[in-house]
Amino acid sequence: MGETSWYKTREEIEVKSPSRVDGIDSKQESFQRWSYSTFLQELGQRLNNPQRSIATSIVLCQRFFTLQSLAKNDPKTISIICMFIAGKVEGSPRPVDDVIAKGYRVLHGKEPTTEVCARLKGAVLTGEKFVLSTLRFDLEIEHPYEPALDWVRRSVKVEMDAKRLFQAAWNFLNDGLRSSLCLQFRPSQIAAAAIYLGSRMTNVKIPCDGEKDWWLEFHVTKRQLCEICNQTLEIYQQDFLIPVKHEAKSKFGDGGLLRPEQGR
Amino acid sequence: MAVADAGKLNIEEHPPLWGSRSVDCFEKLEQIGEGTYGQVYMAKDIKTGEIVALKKIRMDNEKEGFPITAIREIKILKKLHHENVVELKEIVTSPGRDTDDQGKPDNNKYKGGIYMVFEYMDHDLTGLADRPGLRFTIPQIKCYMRQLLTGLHYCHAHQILHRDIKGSNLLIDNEGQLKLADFGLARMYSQDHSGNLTNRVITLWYRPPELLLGATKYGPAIDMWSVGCIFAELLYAKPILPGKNENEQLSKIFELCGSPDENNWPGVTKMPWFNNFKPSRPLKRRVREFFGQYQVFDRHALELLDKMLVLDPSQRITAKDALDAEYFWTDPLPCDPKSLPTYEASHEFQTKKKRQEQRQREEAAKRQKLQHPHQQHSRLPPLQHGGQSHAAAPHWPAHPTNNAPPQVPAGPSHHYYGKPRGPPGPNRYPPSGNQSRGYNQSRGGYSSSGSYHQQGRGAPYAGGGPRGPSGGAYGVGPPNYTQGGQHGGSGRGQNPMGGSRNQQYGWQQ
Repeated sequence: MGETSWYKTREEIEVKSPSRVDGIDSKQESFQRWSYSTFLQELGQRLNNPQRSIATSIVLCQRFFTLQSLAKNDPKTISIICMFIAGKVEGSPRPVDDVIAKGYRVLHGKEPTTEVCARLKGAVLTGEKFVLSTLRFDLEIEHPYEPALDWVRRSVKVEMDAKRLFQAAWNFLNDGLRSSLCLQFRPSQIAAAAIYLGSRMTNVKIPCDGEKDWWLEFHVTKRQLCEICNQTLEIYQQDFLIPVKHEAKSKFGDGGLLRPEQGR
Repeated sequence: MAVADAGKLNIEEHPPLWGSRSVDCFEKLEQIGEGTYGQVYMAKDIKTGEIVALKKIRMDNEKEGFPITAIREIKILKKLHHENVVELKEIVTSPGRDTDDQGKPDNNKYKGGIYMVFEYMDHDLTGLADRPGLRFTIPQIKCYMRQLLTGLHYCHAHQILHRDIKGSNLLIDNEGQLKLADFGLARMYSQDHSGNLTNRVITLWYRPPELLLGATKYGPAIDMWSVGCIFAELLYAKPILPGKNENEQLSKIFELCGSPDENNWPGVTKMPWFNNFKPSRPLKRRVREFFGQYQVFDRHALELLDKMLVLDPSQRITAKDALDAEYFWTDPLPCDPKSLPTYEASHEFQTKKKRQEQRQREEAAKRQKLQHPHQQHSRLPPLQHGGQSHAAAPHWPAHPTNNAPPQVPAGPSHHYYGKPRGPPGPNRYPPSGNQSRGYNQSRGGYSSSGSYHQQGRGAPYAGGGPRGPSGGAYGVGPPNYTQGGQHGGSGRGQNPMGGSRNQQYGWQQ
C-alpha cells in the first residue's frame, strides 16, 4: 500500500485545516486539541492503558482532525473512538463499554444512564470504521519514548542523572502531545527536543563526544530543535489556561464541559 | 461555525472523503473463498483492469467493533513488502447505510463493509497438492520450499512471527511464485523472547512441541517447526503428524522425534505441561530412519528435515540457515518458478459441476480402495528428478511411470486466502472444535474459553483460540497482550512544570 505522509508544516496545520474552512479559528482548534489530548491522557490512565497506547490515541485523533472538521465531528466522540482503536492497535484492548463509561465519567463527572450508554456505543461502533478509514488504516504509530529512553540509557553514565533526565524528558513528551508537534516532526526529532529541555530543567549535562553534535543521531537540525523546544514551551503559555470561565462558556456553548485551569 | 454538537459525526460524506477508495471501484467477479473473518472475492479494478482478491472483513458478531485480529493483520501487512509475502494493495470501504424498519437511514447501524485488497493468487499449496493426479517434482518442491523459507526469513528479520504456517496459507500463482498469506494470527516479537505470548496458535498438525507443552515465551523457531512439517508433507505426500487433539499430537511428535529430556532439550522438564504429557517410556528419535525408507528423501533432504524437526526450539534451524542447506544447492537444483507448469485456476463457483463429477469418481475409487486397503491417500508422491519417476516408496502403490508433465484435471482444490469451511475430503483435517476443553482448563487463568468462538477454521485451534476477539477475550487479558513496558510505571504523573496530573483540561466538569 502506498504510504502518504502525515507530516505537515505548522502553516498548513494552522491556515489550511478543514476546521478553518468551516470557520473555526486556529486558536479555537488549538484549544480543542489541547482539550481532547488532555482528556485522552486522563481517560487512558483511568483505563489503566500503557502510555504508549494513550499517546497513540492522541496522535490518531490529531491526524483525524487534519482531514476532518471540528465543526462536523464532535471531538469528544472522536477522541473516545480513538482511545478505543488505540487500545486494539497497541495490543491493550479495552471493552467498548468500559471506554464509553469511563469516558463519560471523565467528561461529565457522573455515571451514564443505560440509554446514554447505548447511544454512545452506537456512535462509537459506527464511527470506528469512519475514523479508521479516514486515517487510511495507517495504524503503525511511532513514539518518541523509545528513542529518548534509548539515548539516555546509552549516553548518561551516572544512573541517578539518567533517571532524572529521562523523567524530565518523559514529562515534556507527554505534555508535548497537546501541541501539534506530532503532526510536524518525527518522533526521534521530538525526542531530541525533550532531552534538551529535560537537561536544562534538571541541570544534567548532555555528554558531548568531541566534534559531533549530540542531536545529529536524532536526524534533527539545530533549527528544528529550537522550533520543537519553543512549541513545547508554548503549551505552558496558552492563554486558554488562564481562567476565562465566563467567556469560554459562551464561546463553546457547552456549559459545564469547560473548566479552565484554576489559579493560572 | 461552532464545534460540532455531542455525537455528531461526518459519516455522510462517503469515500473518497473518507480517505480510502470505495469498493465500487472494483467489479466483483465471483466469490472464491471463505476467509477467517469474511468472504473472499475475485474482482477487477474497473479503472486498471487488474484482477485482485477482495477479502471482506466480517463485522457481524463483533461486539467489540472492528476485529483486533484484522487491525493486527493490517498493521503487519502494511509493514511487509516482499515477493514471497502476499501484498495488501489497499483497503476499501463500501458505502451503505443500513436502514431501519421504516426504511430510514439508521445512524447507529452503519454497516458499510471494509475490504482488504490483495494481489490475486491462483492457488494455495494444499489445494494444489490435493489435486487428483497432480504430483510435484523434486525441483518444484525445492523451489516452493526455498520461496517459503525466503518469505519467512524476511518476516522473522522484521520481528514478525507468522504463527499459522500451513499449506493452505501458502498461496501460489501461475508464475510459480509462492507467497505467505493470512497474517491474522501473526504478531511482533521481541528479540529476547520476553513477552508472554499465547501458546494457542498454529493449526494443530503444524504446532511445535514447545507450544503443546505450554510455552508462552517463544520465537521464530515455532514457524520453522511448521515449515519442517510442510517440507516432509510435500515429499511424503500426506500430512506427517495428523493428531486429533493436543495429547495425540504430542504423542505423534515424540514417536517420531523421540521423547524430550534434559539432555536433548535443556529446561524441558520445567515446561508448564511437561508432567501431563511425559511419555511413559523413553522413545528413540527416528526421523532419519523413518523418512529414510523413502527414496524421495535423499541424504540432503533428511539432513535438512532432521534440523527442522528438532524438539528443542533453541537448536532448531533458522530460516536463514535452512536457505544455506546443501539440499538447495545440490542436484536436482530448485527450478525457476517461471518454469513450473501452470494449472488451470479452479474456483469453487466455476468448477461446481466438475467437482460433482470428481466426487462421483472418488466414490468409485473409495469402493475400490476397500479391495486395496493400502491405498490410503489420494495425493501422489513427488516425481523424482524433474519428471522421472523412480521406484516409489515402499507403501505407495506403484504408479505407471509417467514422464509427461503433471496431468491437471481441473480439481476442486482451491481455498483462497481463507480457510475452507470444512474438510474438502475425508481426513483432510482433524475434527474441528473444542474437544480439548478439559485439557485447557488445566491452564488456569486463560481457560475461561467458553466465550471464544471458532470462526470458520478447518483445523482446530485449542479451545477456539485467540481468533475471536469478542466477549471474554477482552476482559481476561489474554497473555499475548503485553502491557506496559519500560515507559509505564512511576513517573507518569510527576511533572516539573505542573504537567499531566495537575492540569485540568477544557472539557472536564
